[in-house]
Amino acid sequence: MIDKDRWAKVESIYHAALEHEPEQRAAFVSNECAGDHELESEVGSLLKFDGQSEAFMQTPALNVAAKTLAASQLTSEDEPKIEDIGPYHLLKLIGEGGTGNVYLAVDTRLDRKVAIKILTVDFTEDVDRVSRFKQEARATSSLNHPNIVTIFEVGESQGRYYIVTEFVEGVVLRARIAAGRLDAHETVSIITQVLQALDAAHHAGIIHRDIKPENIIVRADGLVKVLDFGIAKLDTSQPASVDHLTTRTGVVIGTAAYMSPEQARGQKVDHRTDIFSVGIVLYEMLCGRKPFEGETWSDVMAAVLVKDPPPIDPAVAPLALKLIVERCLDKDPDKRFQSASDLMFALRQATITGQSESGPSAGIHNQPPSSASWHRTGLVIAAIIIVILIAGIAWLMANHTAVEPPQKALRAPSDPESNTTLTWVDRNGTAQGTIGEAGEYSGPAFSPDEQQVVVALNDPKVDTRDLWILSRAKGEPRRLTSDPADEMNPIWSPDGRWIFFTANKNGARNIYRVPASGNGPTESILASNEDLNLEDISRNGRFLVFNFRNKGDDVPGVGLLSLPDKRRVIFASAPARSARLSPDQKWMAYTSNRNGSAIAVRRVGAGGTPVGNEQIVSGSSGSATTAMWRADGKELFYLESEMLMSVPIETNGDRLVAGAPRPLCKINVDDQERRNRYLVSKDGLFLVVLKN
Amino acid sequence: MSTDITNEITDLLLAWNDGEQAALDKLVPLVEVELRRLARSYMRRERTGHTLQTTALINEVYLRLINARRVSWHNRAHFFGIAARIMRRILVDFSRTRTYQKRGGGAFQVTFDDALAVAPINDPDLLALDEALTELARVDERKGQVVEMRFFGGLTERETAVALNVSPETVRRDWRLAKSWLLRRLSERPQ
Repeated sequence: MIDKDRWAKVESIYHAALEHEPEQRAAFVSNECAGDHELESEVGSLLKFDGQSEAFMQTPALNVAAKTLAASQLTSEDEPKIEDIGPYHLLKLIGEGGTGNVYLAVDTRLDRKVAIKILTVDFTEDVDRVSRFKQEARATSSLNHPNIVTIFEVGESQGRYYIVTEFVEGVVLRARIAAGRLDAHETVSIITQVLQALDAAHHAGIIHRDIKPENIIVRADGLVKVLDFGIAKLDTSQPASVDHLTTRTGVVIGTAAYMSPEQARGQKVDHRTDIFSVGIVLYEMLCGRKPFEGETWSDVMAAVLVKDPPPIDPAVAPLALKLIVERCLDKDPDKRFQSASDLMFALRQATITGQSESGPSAGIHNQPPSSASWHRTGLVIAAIIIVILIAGIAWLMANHTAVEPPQKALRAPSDPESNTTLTWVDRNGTAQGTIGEAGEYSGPAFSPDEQQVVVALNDPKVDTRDLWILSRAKGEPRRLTSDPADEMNPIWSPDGRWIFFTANKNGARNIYRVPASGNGPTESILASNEDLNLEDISRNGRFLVFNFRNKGDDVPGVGLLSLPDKRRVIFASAPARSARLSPDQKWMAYTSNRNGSAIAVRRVGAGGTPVGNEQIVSGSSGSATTAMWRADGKELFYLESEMLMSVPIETNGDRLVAGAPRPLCKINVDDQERRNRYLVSKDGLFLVVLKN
Repeated sequence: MSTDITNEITDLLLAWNDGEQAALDKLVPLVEVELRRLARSYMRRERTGHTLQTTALINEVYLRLINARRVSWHNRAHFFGIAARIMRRILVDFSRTRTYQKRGGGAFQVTFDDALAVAPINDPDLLALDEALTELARVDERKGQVVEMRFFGGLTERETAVALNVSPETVRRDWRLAKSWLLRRLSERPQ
């Protein structure tokens, strides 16, 4: 056992070290220990855990016990015992909340895992709450967004109401934060997805009201899911305002700490309350602690209402990011970002700025922005960008030396001879940064969360194309294939697990898949003696859209492959290629070569068969290629000579009405007749294989 | 809770404070009954939207456990400290029993994992923490007491300071070092 004097020494050096900045502590300890290595390592190892100890034992065990005890007593005495509800077979309790418990269950009809929240008996007895619950659940279930946990069903069985949602396996952001601060890139990647969810919800008139790390799940593939939309409103156990609650407590209260000032005052809230809560989560991710803390409920509330959060350490976030967080946390909703998309835009600028120094802006014709595009928010954003640009560069300069080289240094083959880059471009053709280095790229594809890109890249040393995964935030490449054959035309499966691609392994270009994680063998999906090119995948992951070319006649066509049974359907047999499914999966847009080159749209029927006639939506130039849908399906883009074109689309059941095509900007797409040489992101930016 | 039982508990606490170790064994079941009863009424109130705070419950438990008129305020803080020891024992017992019960055990475990939220360490459980805390108390008794009062007893920094007769600043420093020490100890455990 350590003797008292020595322990006193450990203690005094430990506390003295904490007075120093983290990076100076090791040197300080070493100096204090004056060559006593054992002492140095004792203090050092304790200090190592200091940073991780914030959440540890934060909630007294007694609180947890009392709650659990109370809940288990209620379950056994007040609540009827629940085994199964409707067609759902309950497997285990996975969460507890104010409105009810959440179980992992199996939908016995579909044999799929679901999460089911069963509302408390109290709740069911309250007619008013039940009607609000139904209304809210209906609204929420209308939200169909990859970052929002899907509601499958809202039902009632034996007088108990329940909500069935998809079961998401992943790490709750709370646990991730407890494991230590997140770096700026990871933070932005997660929050961007949360904002995409909020943006969709806010447009549908739904406010989350309870954004906190407990409601955010990060899946293993990086896809972020936001839980419990609009449900918070129903939880009447959450005090709407600061009240007479007892002031004696040793706990930082969870939800209270994420409330906006207007929420804390019990005032009417709008979507900007979610912006404030996102600011708190951002702060916590970067700093590892909450911006507003206190020992009691009222201390926390007082801090939310009047205090400025402690400034963010410049070592953990660039100034640009710090300013963004502060703006989210403004007490006055009018002074915050006014929408989730504004905030998303600012965050992206903050990260893209981190790379754009090397990103070429040559090759793009910068058209002067039309006056219409400079509306109010545009001006605000422009002002922010300037600040961010300056701050971002300063941060880069300050941090550049500290960046460690990636561990298993797998650099993507950069090819100075080659003249293409993966470049972000906005509707005006203005470059917004690049991903990765210059190289010989062909068709990129997004991951479901759009935070990563899988792309074929030629290695000039062996002149072979391999697949690489590049991260949108950092551009740090990961090699996915290294086969001597050419791999290309990658498509990411909607569940994020697989990359489908084509490769010339056996004399013809066939379809394969490989786990996106890179851990696992390559599997053959479709072998044939024709040359196949992957084009797209249906949202449910059950159909691959591909382009085939018969060996003999060399006439391309578009086909669908049903994945479970490998059944093939020919969708367009006349010369056709570059097919993309509309976001609602009801239409296929493709390049039709029946008469010159035009963009055609046709309805997709049951089982992937074409329905009705081909409808030409491009102009009469005869040189239109490569259609891409906007995320909401209301706009179709295509390339015509060097122009990026736009066609407004309206659909009504079986009818599709296309507006007049108009040019958006000049854009120098490399080899523009090839498939997927550009992509459209959910937030309306274009990722282009740009010829320099 | 009847005045009789309150008096009985106060008697036992006083006896234990005077060095009668057997008093603790008699105290534990009495406290446990009271804890269950209050947990229940607490939950009812929470569900009817009255309050969100479990800590209110803790204070209530403690105040009910002792007859306030028979002990001075300073002693009360001291009793809170003693009660924290009892709570630790009850909670560790709960956790131990639950670990062997398949069904309910899961839920209980899950919630404690929340309280011990530290992802680098795989599933630290309350029993492991209890053992580590006993070791810490051997190295530094006061730090052991600080953790016992703050984590197991739910006392505030100030209450812990009064109970231990030290400054709140000392409690804060002890708490910080103790957490690092325990985390380090828990991470050394073979998983």
